[in-house]
Amino acid sequence: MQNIRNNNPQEDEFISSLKNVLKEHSRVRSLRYFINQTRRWYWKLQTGQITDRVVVLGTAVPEELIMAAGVIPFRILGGSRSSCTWSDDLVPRDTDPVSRSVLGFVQQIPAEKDLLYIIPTESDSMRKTAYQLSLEGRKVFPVDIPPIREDKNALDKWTQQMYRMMEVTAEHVHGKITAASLQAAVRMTSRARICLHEFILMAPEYDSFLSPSARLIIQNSYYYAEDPETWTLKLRELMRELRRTAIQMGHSQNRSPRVLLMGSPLYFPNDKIPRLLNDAGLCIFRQEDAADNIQYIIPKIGKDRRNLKKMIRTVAGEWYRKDTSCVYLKNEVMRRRVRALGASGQIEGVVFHVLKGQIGQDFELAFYEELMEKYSLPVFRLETDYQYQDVEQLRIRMEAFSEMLSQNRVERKVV
Amino acid sequence: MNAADLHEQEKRKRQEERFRNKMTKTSARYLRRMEELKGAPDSLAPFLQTLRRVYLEMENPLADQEKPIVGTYCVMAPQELIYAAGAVPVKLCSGSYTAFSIGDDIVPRDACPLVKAVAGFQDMELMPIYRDCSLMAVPITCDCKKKIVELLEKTHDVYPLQVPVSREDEDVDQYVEELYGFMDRLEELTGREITWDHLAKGMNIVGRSRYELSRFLELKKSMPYLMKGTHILAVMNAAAYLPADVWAGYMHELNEELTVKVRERQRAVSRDLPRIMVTGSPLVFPNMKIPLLIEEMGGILAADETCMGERGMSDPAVVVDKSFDGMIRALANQAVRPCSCPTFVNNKERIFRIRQMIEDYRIQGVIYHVLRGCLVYDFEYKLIEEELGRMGIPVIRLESDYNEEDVEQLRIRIEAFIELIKLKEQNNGNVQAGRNEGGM
Repeated sequence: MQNIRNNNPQEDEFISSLKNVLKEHSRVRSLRYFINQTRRWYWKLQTGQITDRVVVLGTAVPEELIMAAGVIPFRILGGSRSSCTWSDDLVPRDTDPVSRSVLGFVQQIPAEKDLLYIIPTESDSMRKTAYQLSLEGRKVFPVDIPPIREDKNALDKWTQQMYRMMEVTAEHVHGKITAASLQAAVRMTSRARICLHEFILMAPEYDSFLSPSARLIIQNSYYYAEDPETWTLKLRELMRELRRTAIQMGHSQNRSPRVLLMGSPLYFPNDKIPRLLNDAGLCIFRQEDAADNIQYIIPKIGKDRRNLKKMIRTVAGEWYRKDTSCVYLKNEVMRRRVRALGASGQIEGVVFHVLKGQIGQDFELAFYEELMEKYSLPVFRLETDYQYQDVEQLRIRMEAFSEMLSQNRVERKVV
Repeated sequence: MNAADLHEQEKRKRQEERFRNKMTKTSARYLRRMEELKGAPDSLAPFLQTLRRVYLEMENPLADQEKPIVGTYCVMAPQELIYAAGAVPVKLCSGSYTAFSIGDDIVPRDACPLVKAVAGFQDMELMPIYRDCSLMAVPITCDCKKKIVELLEKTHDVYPLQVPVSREDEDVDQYVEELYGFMDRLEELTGREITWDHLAKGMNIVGRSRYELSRFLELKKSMPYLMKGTHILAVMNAAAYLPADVWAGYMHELNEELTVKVRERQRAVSRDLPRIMVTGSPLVFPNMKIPLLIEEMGGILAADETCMGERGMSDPAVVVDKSFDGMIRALANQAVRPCSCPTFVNNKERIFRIRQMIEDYRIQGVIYHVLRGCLVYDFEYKLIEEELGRMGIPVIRLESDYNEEDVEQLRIRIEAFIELIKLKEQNNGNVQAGRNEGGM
């Protein structure tokens, strides 16, 4: 970590957050790899060393289809308060912080660099960000996600987009997409996602060893991994280490109220929400958002593994059917999942995180409030942005929510 | 019925009464101000009467058509198809402050006022024009429109249309497919198969209204002070609630009257006023505060580049291939290719259109209207501002909502803007005079 200079606010934000997490987890040796991956991502952005020449903004694109061309896409997810300042003059006041931060990061990459920007137009802001970048002379490929899943042609429309995206990518990087290359990419990403899923399920049990910020870094690092194979191995190693440490230290299960954290996706270094939840004595039992949804997307290409077209269709279909971003008229996949979780009795409340300006999330909230009422589960709407001015106010509200959940427990016991 | 239910019922009744009172009062006030603006042609009366019927008398002007009514929430749902199916279209976007205040409690705080008004009308179920819709077509052009579908589905049959984000050939092909899907749904609704003849007839009905509009635009171009912009907006807003042939008939009358006025050089105003164009979020009745302020403060609204104005109706469908598929393709082309809606990723069309309108109507200043929460328009402001800066046209961004709280602030800004244009013109005049003198 010594080779990073703290010479600008963004670097300071990124690096100090990473340092804090590292300091808090000095005993968890396997965490270093994930911290280093995040740091390397940042270093690449700063130095412009994006070797594979394909940049993907956001998470809403199946990376295996890009990787089939022999490249690992450079993902820009947002999450940085200080990168928002780079885009302040370019976007309207009400733009959501994710788009602001993404655009701010991109502004640090010289426009003349020969990069292909793949931009899923999942919101109004991202659509207009694509326009902004194309005006700067950058090579942009907007990916249009069909919002009407019930439309019988929706999957075809999406698959056609994916074909076009692959063609453009292959042409840009002078790569060749074959059935074998796609098969390898699918296998590699699927293994990583299965492992991520396993980690997400087990992490809440080990939260005395792994803070929510560290979990966020690990989960996000899936998108920053330079080599998904190594990333998977390292995550397995980390899980083994956690289990081993838990046995050695006689770890007992977390008794804090268990909540589901959902809504706007969380990206490091914006770890404000998980930290606040932790401080308020709440256990994030599950996190359901569009970024972590990747853990569920495992295309089954068994029969089609020699047929490139069929394989692309399978991958695109799996992704389209299971995507939980707010781009759809109704986010049925997420609703089904949350309904099942509510009915299971495993959670005691829901924290619905809305980043200011993400209007799609706010529209979805009404459904979850109604749904959770059926299971007598309180829903806490938490609206915030990447700034820290509201932290104390949120802390007070979160503590009150935590107390309410504890009180509910007592009342349930009495009944 | 128990006491609690009775109480609820009475509460609702009172709320409905309040809604009616408030809405009719607000609409009456704006209608009166529009009528009081001097220089209105006589043929404007039926257009104002239409707005009166919808918003004051709370009638449905389409009720006598005895056909299924299809509501649309964007100009990208082709009216031609609706007529071809034997139904009649109505544009449902509204500028009602009262419906907005009801909708404010239903949809998220940051949703745009237009969507809040939609939610408010839907909740109250009092406006016949909304209540009588057998189907609502919602082209998905922004995040709010996307999410409003689910809300509308609670009371109506809704057909969402996916609008492509680009205008490439593949995107138009995709929209053609979308229109075929819409056509199937319309056939299901009316029980009438859309044949070549039906489609041709539908295109003729709409075509005639577009022809009358093009005549009107030509007249307007030939004489910039022919009619006040607020009155033109009344004409365009009335088109939302009238069958295209009826509206075309009224337009014909208006055009005849204006032709005489052009011939006799009769202007709506006696002196040259600063010519202002409005672009950005739509101006929908009764939200007429900005056009009224412009014209009450001594300017003239010479053009509007909004989807409720010329943009929504000015581009005709150009049929190259007269087959059925060719006609559907013409409708898809008409909806997608020339459209300057910021829903598209690349929207250079809007800059071209604005430049063209500035030239056609000899515009001296541009007001960029942003409805609070309308992010797509807000995003394009910077670009338009830069372009207008290059052209030497002053521009201001006015952000507003569906209420009257900001009227005084808007008044001051518009007044200052008009003064600025006058001063600029004066300076230009002085410079020109100086040059002429120097030349002599």
